[in-house]
Amino acid sequence: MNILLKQNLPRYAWQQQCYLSTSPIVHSWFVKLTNVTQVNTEAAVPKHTRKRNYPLTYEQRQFPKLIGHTKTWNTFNTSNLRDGKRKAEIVSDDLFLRQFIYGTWHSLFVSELIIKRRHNMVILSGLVTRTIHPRRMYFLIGYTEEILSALLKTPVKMEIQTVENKEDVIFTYW
Amino acid sequence: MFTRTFFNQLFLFKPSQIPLTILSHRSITTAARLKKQLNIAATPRPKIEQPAGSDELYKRLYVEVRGHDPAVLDSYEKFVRLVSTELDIQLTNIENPPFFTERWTLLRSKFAKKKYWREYEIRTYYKKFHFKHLTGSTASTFLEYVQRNLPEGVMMIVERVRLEPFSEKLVPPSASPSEINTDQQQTS
Repeated sequence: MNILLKQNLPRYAWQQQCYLSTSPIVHSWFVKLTNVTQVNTEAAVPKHTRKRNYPLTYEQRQFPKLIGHTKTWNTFNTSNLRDGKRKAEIVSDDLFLRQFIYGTWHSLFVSELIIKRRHNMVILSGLVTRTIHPRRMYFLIGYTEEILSALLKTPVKMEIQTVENKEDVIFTYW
Repeated sequence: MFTRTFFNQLFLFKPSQIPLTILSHRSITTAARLKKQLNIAATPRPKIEQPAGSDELYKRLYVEVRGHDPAVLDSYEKFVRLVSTELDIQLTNIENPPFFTERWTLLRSKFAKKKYWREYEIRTYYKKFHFKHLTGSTASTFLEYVQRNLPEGVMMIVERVRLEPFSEKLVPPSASPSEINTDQQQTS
């Protein structure tokens, strides 16, 4: 793997404002692109169904090429910045957290789990349906916070928002 | 070419060190000759009393903030401006150093297909706040408040320049050669 660490020091003032284009004109009517790197990507883009009844949330409808433009990531941490620490630990913790939450909250989460790290705290947020009684939900929140704080050795907080049912989150049918 | 005139060399000295009589002369002279004229070595060092338990003094405070999103850093800049005006802290300058990119060129396919690669990059945007003339307690209070409100995905690096009393062991070179020799023998 070649890692090129290039210091991006501009020579002229006008160079500082130039940004790299990621995927500008893939679906243009006027220009037909043939570069295989941008035209043939299939990740997270569902195929149209014959009956056009496959539900997609707003997040799922924003395909991965729009990450950085109109879509953000699902984790916020400083490990990937320059001189950022604990890259591997944060990635493995994120994977474990997602599995744990989706397993503990049985089919209650309607959006992706959003993991924010501030100082040494981990803050979990997402959309949850109101299928269970609020008392049970409070228990689940307390249980996840306690057990995850003990496992990760950091304060873990849950800041979830509730939604009536799954149909409220569906944006289009694909 | 940059010519060393009288007025150019005056910038090497602080305004307090240059008396008005010297300023009125229009002769071309070197910095070394000016130093001799002003007799800087012979002027007595001022004694500043620092009672025990007094606060530290910070001449400069540099708060560098790094993030992936420049919009987040801009909103944080607004917040820091408000805080510094409210708490009466001198914010001299906000510097925007150029962003840094870390780039990888990796194969697009898991097996073979060496002709097709993919470019990835990670950007780090910087912002640096320059503060001046703070006391230790002010600095620690201000930094704690500003760090508590640091958004997720943003990291902070703080540099401080502290004022220390001049060490008494450092003496200007005015001793005679015989004294210097005896000192050397004692140390060796």
